[in-house]
Amino acid sequence: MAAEDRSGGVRLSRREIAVRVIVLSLGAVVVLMPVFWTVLTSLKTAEQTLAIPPVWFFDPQWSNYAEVLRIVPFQNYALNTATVVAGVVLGTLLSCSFSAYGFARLRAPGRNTIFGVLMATMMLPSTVTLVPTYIVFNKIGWLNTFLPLIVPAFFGSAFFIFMFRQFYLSLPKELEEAARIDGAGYFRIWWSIFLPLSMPVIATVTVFTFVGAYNDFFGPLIYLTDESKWTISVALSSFGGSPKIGPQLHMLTAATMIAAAPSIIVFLLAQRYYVNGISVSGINK
Amino acid sequence: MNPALLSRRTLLGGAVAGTALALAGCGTGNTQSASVPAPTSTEVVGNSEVTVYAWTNGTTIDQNFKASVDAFNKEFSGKFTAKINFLPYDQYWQKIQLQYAANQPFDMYYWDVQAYAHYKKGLLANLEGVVSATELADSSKYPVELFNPWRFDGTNIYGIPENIQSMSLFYNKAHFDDAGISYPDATWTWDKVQEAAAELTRKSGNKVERWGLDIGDLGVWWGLQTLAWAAGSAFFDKPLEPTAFTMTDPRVVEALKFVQDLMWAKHIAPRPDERDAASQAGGFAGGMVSMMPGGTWNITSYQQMKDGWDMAPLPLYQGRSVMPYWLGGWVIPQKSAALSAAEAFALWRATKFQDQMAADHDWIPIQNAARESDAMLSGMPDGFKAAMAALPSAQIGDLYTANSQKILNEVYGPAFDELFRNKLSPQDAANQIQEQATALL
Amino acid sequence: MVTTSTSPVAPAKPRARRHRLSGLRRREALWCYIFMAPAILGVLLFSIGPMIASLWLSLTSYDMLSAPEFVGVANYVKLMGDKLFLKSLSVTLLYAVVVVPGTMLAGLVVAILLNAKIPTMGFFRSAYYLPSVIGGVAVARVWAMLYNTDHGLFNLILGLFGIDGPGWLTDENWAIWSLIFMGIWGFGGTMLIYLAGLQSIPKELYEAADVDGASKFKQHLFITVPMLSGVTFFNLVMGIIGALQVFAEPFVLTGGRPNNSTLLLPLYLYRVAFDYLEMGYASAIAWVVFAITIVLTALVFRSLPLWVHTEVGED
Repeated sequence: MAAEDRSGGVRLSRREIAVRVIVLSLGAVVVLMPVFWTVLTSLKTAEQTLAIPPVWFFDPQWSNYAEVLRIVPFQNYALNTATVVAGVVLGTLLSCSFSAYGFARLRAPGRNTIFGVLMATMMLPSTVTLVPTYIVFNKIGWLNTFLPLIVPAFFGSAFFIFMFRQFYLSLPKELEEAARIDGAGYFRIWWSIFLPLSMPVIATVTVFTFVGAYNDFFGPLIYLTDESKWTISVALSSFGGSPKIGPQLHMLTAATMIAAAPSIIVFLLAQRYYVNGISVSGINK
Repeated sequence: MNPALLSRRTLLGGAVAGTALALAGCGTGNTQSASVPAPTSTEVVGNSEVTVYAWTNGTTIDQNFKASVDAFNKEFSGKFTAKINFLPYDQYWQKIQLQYAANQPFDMYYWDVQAYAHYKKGLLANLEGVVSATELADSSKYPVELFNPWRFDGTNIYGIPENIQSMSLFYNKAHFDDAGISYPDATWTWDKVQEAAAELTRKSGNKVERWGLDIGDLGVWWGLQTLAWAAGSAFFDKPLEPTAFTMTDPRVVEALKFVQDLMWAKHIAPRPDERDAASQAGGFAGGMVSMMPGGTWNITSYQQMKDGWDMAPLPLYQGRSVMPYWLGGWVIPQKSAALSAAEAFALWRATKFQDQMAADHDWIPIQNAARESDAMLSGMPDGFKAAMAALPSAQIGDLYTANSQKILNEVYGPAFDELFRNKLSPQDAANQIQEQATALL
Repeated sequence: MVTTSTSPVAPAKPRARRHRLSGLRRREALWCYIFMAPAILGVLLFSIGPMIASLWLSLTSYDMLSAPEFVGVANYVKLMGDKLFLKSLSVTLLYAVVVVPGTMLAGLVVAILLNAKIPTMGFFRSAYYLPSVIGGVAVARVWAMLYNTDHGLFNLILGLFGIDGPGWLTDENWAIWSLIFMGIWGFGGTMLIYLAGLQSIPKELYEAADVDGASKFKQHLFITVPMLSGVTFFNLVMGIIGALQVFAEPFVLTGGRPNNSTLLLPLYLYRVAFDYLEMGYASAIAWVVFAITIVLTALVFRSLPLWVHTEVGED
């Protein structure tokens, strides 16, 4: 795994550094402007959001956020989302770390073929598998439950199995050999040795899976019927604000920021793992 | 590569695929047509708790709904309990169909035209028995003639109507007062409307700040249809299972042209982009528009308007004004898990609840007494009574055929879109709709 | 990608089996299968199985309320004449053709800029990657605000210069480009991958080029780009696959409007499957999308020898 905090790269003169920083700063402003604008708008009053030319200095209406939370049963949505995300993260971690051990350290006829097929499934667009999967879940009565969202996570995910496998391959064989001499079975070896050592990978996979599951829109959209079961992403998509007269831009943006906050926070706290994971996937292809 | 392993794998894959298909195959497959009325005896069929599904209409109306559920629970405590679930409209029909597909249909749900397709697939319960056993069958108390479109097979009713909606011309009294024009009434023609609109429009330079007229729901097929009716024609030969579309009738084309001209040739009403801008700045309720023909379901949202407003019957087009009406009510799946409870709730809302509905002013009660009561009128603008006067001779503003959803979304929708963006001439639009709708029929 | 090494063949004994594993090996193989089981089941249940079922479904007409009815290739024939499908296809291809290279170019440029000993490199890296972390629905809401014809940031800024901004989301000529621009905004992922790739390019190459007096731009063109070809290839393939599956943003932002100019294929599929409950037809659409993905990916693979640089250290 690349040590991402090593600021490798070109050595530059001070002037060149200054130029780059300026250019990058401008770029960052442009790229982050949409988010910044949303935050600004979320703190305005309804009239201010409509003002032309736009208002840049104003009293921040933090109450907008409180208002959104009042109108919308956010705790409910948050609970639902937490359930789904926790289930998916757990399932992914368990199944991927488990399967990867087989691919990395054990031998069986056809293992590599199976691994190849598994990797190939990464290229399968979800649109192809969507309809039959939906039909099955519908017919077995899992509609309007969280099961279709959580259960598949317990069956592995090609990308994360790849990550775990890479990591396991890098662990010295002596570890296992020592354990085997002591009479430990494969399961013990995986559970007691490999798993605890893979904390960095676990962290990376957790972060990725968290954001992915949290942001998932399509799954909840088609499987969850009742509003009481909605996740945050579905709730945001149908947020209409309170039906007072006039536009609700300030409410909508506040709701958007509330919904986007967890992903952003997790990302900011765990940047290292994010960068790690992406670098690994790119380099090792 | 181990061939033995490979074939085993594909075999398993096939088995899984096969299971998926087998499960798909054991669909509900229930296509029997329901000609036997639901039991009217006092025995309770299904659960005593019924989950009611409706689409969300905004906080106020939703609150009133919840209050009605609470009232029902109180009155029927010990016998039935109801719970209400709101879904956003754009997912509503989808979810209903998908639940049918999963063989777990909703206990009951609020009607709209899409439910006709469910009737065609034999999924709805025949409610003639329960309805005819109540005062809903009494023509002195209810406008029973207006229920006929819901007797899909000619005799049996498949929904329980509880409210009625129509279309009126809404106008902003403050604007009229300012301009010194007298209010619209039943004698107003569209010519007069256009005159008034010209005087009511406010411009600042080249930009229009306030429009005298917005085409409102004339921009939707069921609204435009009323002009065709007034001219003596229609979009299709009959609302229930039409056999032919009549879009190319010159009177229909003329009606299309009329609305398009309002926006383009005469530019008295805002064009689509301008409409978007106006509606985002508040629309009629925000004082951006002085007059607008629209559905009566908008009344609730207008109640909170700052300016004074009122409503008048639809203006005379070629000398006539024909009112559309729509029934609101409930349908119950044949396989509803709470059949009796569902019937009880729907019937209660259509009978005992009508007075409260009048007092809430969010729906227009179907019961004559409630609709004409003081409680109703006091919360309504002055023009309400006049606007409702022509109700007994109104025409149903729906299209009942298995494909109606598709026809309306994929044929009328885009064609009108183009027509109103001036990309399609009225004749071409009419031809296009005629051709495509007939193909889907 | 697939290495085919199998366990060594045990000394032959006249048996029907090809391999004869010793007891220890057999035990290991058994455990290997046990460990691989979740993944194998996952592939069967959620990839291969549905793929085959979807193919079969595409030959039927199925509305989920009654049993599927076999119709042969009728769905595919219908597809060819379905104007809405063809429009959706062209919109999606346009989207992919612009967004994928766009994202890669933006990612590459920023990665090159970032690949230096700059004090705040970490901050910038996170700043550019942040948009990719925000969920599709939130992204759509954010950009809906910007694209608003009267009060959106873009038209407000244009208004400062006296220009009347277009209806970004309401004008059918602009809408898809608005979506595309929004899609390129999320270039953070490709940027990170390029950054990692850049850091593995030996500095000596650049130093040698400096000695030869080559300009920075030339250096990038003849050293950086070829050395990154493996990474580019990866980004290209994953980018194509991703672009053909975009759903949340167009769904929330425009819903396909105006006049279906933003009706990307996943949106159309969703409509056919869940609004009209035509599961057979939807499966046919899905397979056409899949076929296109395969064709595009195969094209990229085929062009490998032309431009992907394989040297020591890269396979």
